[in-house]
Amino acid sequence: MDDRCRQIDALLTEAMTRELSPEERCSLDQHCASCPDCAAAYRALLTTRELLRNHRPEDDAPPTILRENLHRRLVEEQAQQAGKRPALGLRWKLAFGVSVCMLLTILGYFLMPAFPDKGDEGTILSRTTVDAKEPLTIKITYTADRPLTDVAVTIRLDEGISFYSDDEKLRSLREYTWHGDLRTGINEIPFVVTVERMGTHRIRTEASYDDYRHRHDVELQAEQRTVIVTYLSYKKRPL
Amino acid sequence: MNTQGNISPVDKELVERARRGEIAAFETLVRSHETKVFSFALNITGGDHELAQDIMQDALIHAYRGISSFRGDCSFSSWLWRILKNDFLRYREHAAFSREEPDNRKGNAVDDHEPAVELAIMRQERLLLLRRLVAQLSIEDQEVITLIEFQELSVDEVAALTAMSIEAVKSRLHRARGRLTELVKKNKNLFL
Repeated sequence: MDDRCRQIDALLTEAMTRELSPEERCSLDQHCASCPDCAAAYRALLTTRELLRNHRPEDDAPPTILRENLHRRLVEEQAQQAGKRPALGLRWKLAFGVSVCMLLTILGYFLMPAFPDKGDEGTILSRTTVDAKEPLTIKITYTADRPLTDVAVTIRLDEGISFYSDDEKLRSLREYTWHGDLRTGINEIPFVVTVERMGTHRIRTEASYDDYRHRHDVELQAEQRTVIVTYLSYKKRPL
Repeated sequence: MNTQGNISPVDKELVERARRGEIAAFETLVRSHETKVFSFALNITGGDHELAQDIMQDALIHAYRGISSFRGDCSFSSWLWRILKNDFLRYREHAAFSREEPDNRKGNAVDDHEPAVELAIMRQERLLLLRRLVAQLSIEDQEVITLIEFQELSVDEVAALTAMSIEAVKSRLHRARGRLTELVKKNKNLFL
C-alpha cells in the first residue's frame, strides 16, 4: 500500500460515517479508477452502507414460531413452578390443614348454591386476534406430569357459536364430551367452531380426571371482521 | 417503544401482572420489545436465525423466571438485553469448550471459500455476511451497532436504554463503526 492508497483508505473510513465533499469524492473516484484494491474496498463499503440504509428495524422481527414456542414453554414453566412450591413442616401443615378445613366449611355454607368457580375469574393464558370469516381452530392444552387415563373433557358452546362440521348433527350440538387418555407433557384437544353473530361468547370446557375437574374457557369477542380469542384457565378443583 | 432509562407505566403494570403469573401479560411485554432484542440476537450470532431464536427463547424464559427480581430501575428492553447478552456469553464459553458448534457460530474470521459467501449476490446473503462481521466485534460494539444501525435508534435513545452517557455512546459508536469499517475492508473481496 503506497502513501496515496493510505490517504484513500482514511477517506474510505470517513465515507462510512459522513457524506464526502465533491472534491473528496472526485479524488476517491480518480484513484479507484487506477487502483483495483482501493476500488474493491470502496465498493464493499458502499454495499455495507446501502445494506444498513435499506435495513428497516422491523426486518429483524422474530418469527411467529418463536412466540408459539415461548407460549408453550411458559405454560410448562408455570406448571412446573406450581409443582415446586416449598414443602411446609409437619406442624405447619397440620395447622394449615385445620385452618383450611374450617375456612372451607364456613365458605361452603355460604357459597354452595352459587356457581362452583365463583371468585375465580380465571387466568388469561393468551389472547390473539383472528379473521372473523374463517372457521376457528380452538386448542385446549393440558400439561400432564404423568400419563392420565379415562379423561373426559366436556365442551359447551354459548349461543352464537357452533361446531364446524359437514355433519349437520354435529353442527347442531351445544355440548360435546371427548373421552381419552393424556400422555406426559403437553396434550392438545383441538376442535373447530364458527362464530355466527357478533358479540362476546364463551366456550366452556371442563376436564375430569383423578377426582378433579379443571376448567378452561375460551372467550370469543366477535366484531365485524375480527375475533379476539382469549384463553382462560381456572384453578383445578375436586369433583 | 419505550427507550427511557426507567420503566414506562404500561410496562410497570404488565410486569406486576407477570409477577402474579399472568403469562399473557408477560407475552404482551415481550412483544413490545422483541424486535430490538431479536435484532441483537441476530447480530451476536452472526445472522444464525436458528441459534438466535434458541438464545432469545432461553433468555425470555430466564426473564420470566426472574421477573420478581426486576426492580424497574431500567427499561424492560435493557433488562432483557442484559439477560440475552449473559446467556450468549455463557453459550459461547460452552461452545468454545465443547467444540460442538460450527466455526461460523464462534465468530471466527469469515471463510473466503464458503459457497454462500462466494455466491453473495442477493441482499439477504450480503446482510448475512455483514452480520458475520458484526459478530466479530466486541459485545459492547455489537450493542451500539445493532441499536443505531439496525434498529435506527438515536444516540440519546441508546444512552437512555443502556444507561450510558451521550458522550460515551458517541465515542463507542465511533469506535465500533471504525472497527466494522476495517473488517469490511479486510473482507472486501467477499462483497464483490
